[in-house]
Amino acid sequence: MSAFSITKETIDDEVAIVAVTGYLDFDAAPALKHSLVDCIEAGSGRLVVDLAQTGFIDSTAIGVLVGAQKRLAESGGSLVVVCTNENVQSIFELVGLDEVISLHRSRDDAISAFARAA
Amino acid sequence: MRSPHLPEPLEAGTAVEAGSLGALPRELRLPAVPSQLVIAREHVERAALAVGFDHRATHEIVFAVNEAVTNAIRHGRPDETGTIGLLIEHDRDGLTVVVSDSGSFIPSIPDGSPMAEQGRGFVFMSSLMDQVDLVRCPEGTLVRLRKSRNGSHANGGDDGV
Repeated sequence: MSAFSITKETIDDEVAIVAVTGYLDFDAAPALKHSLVDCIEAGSGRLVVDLAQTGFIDSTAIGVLVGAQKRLAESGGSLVVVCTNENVQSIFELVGLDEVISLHRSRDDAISAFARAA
Repeated sequence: MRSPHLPEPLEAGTAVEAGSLGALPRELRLPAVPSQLVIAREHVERAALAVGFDHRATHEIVFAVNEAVTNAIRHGRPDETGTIGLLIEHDRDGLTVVVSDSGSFIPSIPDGSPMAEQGRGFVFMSSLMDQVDLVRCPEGTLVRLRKSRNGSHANGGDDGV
């Protein structure tokens, strides 16, 4: 598997995208957390975590996503995930996380979902 | 001091040959640092595919073993060489992976609820593998994970996966 990398992109005043390439495990989870915290503290209330290029996610990274979702919810925001890998999707579904963090097949779908919820 | 539950290890870093695990169990010694998790996953993935598990079952095995190795790195104690053990055995009925460290790991209270931020490791292991055993002995802690071939995601290689 390839090493991981994380990028951030601000779409507008509300929406930011954090994209992960590679794997998300205990080694990579702190970097994900820092990126999400940076976005939240910069004022982004709607985060898209793009895992389309991620082939592996573990319980540590899931805990980071849940923690970010809780923090965003405190101020009326939320986090959604772009996921195209069925193995990654199955992990979300295994513990019912897909009902807490909505999964989408593309960034466009994810951003559209925010627009519909506005 | 090595646990009597484990055979003598091969030299550190011995690779698993594709297509066969050989007749003897193989143990990989890994430095107990997070950057080694990807090495452990790749090692297990190669072994699971080599003995005939399909990609879904292989991912389940890799995920579960990753949880156990992560626990060993986070909460366990490496041996005097700074390593933890990853042993893979296969038989006609399935694959067994044993993760070992020298600590006295006590698992946190399992929490499988959707909003849990921690405590999911054993929940995942139990859900994804057919058998999970935590063995504490004087030499340390072993987590034994087993997946059988006759599960819904395993095959005997006849499907040409």
